[in-house]
Amino acid sequence: MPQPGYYIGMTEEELIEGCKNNKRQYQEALYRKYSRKIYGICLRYANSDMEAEDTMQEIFIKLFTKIDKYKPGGSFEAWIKRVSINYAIEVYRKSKRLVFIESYEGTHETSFDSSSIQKLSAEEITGLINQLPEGYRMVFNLFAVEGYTHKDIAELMGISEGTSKSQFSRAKGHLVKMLADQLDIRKEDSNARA
Amino acid sequence: MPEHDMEDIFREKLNDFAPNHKDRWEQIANALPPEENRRRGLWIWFTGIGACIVLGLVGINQLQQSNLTDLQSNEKKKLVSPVIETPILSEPKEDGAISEFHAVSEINTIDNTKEINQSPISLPLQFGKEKNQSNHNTENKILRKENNEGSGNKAPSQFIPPAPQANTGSETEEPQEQQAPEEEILDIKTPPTPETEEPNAIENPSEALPHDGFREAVGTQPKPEPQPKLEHQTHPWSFGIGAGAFYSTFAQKMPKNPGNSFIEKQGMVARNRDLRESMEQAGSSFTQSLWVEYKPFEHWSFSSGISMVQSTQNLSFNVQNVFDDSIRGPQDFPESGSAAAGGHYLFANDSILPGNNATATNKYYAREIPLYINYHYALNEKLSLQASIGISYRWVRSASVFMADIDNVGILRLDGPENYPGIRSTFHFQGGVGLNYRFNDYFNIQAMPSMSYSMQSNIRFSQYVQQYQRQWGMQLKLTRNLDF
Repeated sequence: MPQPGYYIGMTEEELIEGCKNNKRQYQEALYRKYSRKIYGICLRYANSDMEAEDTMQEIFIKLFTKIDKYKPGGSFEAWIKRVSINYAIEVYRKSKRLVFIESYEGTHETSFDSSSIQKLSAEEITGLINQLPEGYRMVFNLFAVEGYTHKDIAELMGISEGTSKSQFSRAKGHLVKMLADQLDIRKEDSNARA
Repeated sequence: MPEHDMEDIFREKLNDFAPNHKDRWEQIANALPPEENRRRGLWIWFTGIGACIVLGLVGINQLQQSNLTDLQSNEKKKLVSPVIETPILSEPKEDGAISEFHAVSEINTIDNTKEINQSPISLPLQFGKEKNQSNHNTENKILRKENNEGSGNKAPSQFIPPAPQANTGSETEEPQEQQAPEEEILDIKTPPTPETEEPNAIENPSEALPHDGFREAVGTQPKPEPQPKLEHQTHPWSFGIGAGAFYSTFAQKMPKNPGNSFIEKQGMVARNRDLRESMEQAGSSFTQSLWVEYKPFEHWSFSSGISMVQSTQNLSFNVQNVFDDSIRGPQDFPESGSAAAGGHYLFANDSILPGNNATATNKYYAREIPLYINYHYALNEKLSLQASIGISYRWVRSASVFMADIDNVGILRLDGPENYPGIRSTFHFQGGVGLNYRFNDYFNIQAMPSMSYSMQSNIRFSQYVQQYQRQWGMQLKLTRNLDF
């Protein structure tokens, strides 16, 4: 378990400088500070907790060996996230598990109560996203959560912009359906308790 | 529901999603390139300084011994010179030529001829047994010559080597055999009596040799006194053990360069420093030491060693579970407060305020290498004053520390240097004036009121606060001289 407060008193500049000098205590402090966020990212792209931990481990090794490429001035956290996402995509591209459907069917018209989604926790939302097919999940994460444009996603994943859009649309359709099911289950549970 | 609403909600909920996971640090650390051994570099640095100090001290010691040897040599020269220039050894006569040569030749083995001939007449200095022995030998030779020559003497202008004489034959090739028989010498020389145990003491030199100016000079000089014990006759090295007890405080100071401009803008750094200053209460510090001392000079010595230091720092504060917005700052770290279940925050959801309702004690365990320069002033045979000044390097081996978090919410607890990478080693300036009591030639005990000021903050990441340790107390030291 990461220990809270490990990095108390260290500035980000000190952390980065220590990591650049290959100092273990700084590297560990950086790991303690960001590991949970990176693990959260990995969870969205991995098929299991174990796989997410493995990916997180590889990302940190990559981060520490490539930290010289970070240019001061920009947000370090944003840089770490970007490195993590790129690595997650690279892993899944190498595994060739992605299957994209080259068609664009337009945006699904969905009607959903936003207050219902607000009731869901981050863990529950992540669990729902993880139930999506891999291709859908990747595009949905990049577009809806990370904020990439379809053009960026197309370049990043080596697909067409249209494919990215169609994948996202299908992903959202699946997700809405799953959300509805999830909320129905909740209602049934609460009715049963009442 | 519009699409962007759903995406915004997802983004909002998932961007800061940071679930717990199994610790993978060990695996990551094992996969990384090996870290440079910083401690090895430190030891090389220390070894280098230590070697320089030892070489310097040995050099000083050698230089001093060399000077001492030169002094003794000069004393011998002064002792021998007048013997050569005495009228007794002046004019070689046919009867005593061989004996005279023997006498001068044997003296030349002590010193060289030029110096002997050019040396002015001077009275021999007091120089213990060597002087006495030298006088004694010289006297024997003089007496031997007198036996051969009688009393008619003139001063020589220069050294005259003996001419080979035909009638001496092979005897000149072995001059030692030409010496007068021992009985003959003893007949003339006055043997030391039981009352006059000094070998060169002559009760009435004028009677023994009425016309011998040198004998008068020798005979009338004061009786040699025992040579005072030189400083080097006590071994310059001493070893010892020590212990100390100190009153310890930490001065809390503002950092020179607050690292986080946002936090500083909120006034949190200054507020946190003020809070820590109000929490700070005096603690104590104890040391156990092994010492080595080198005393190359009568009044000056150098001492060093290694110490184990245990310091405490007491904190007192109040806990208030209602947040005061003027005190509480933004949660800069996500773990602050709510992460108390993780085990390292106490009063995680409470404001920390100045007061005395709660206390905590910080503990630091360190090792220290001191280096002192000492000045000694003898009050009497047993007591001496000692003033010491020096520096020490102290590195923390273990720590158990409580501190107010930067936003003054919760007390952060850090145990061990592995969980407190911000702890740093420090240089200390220290000194004191004390008393030495010498039991005998070997054992010495010292009591020294002393102080120690840290020259650096013991918090490495000092963007939030810097703290400097101050100590006042008493050191006791028992040393043993190496003169076995």
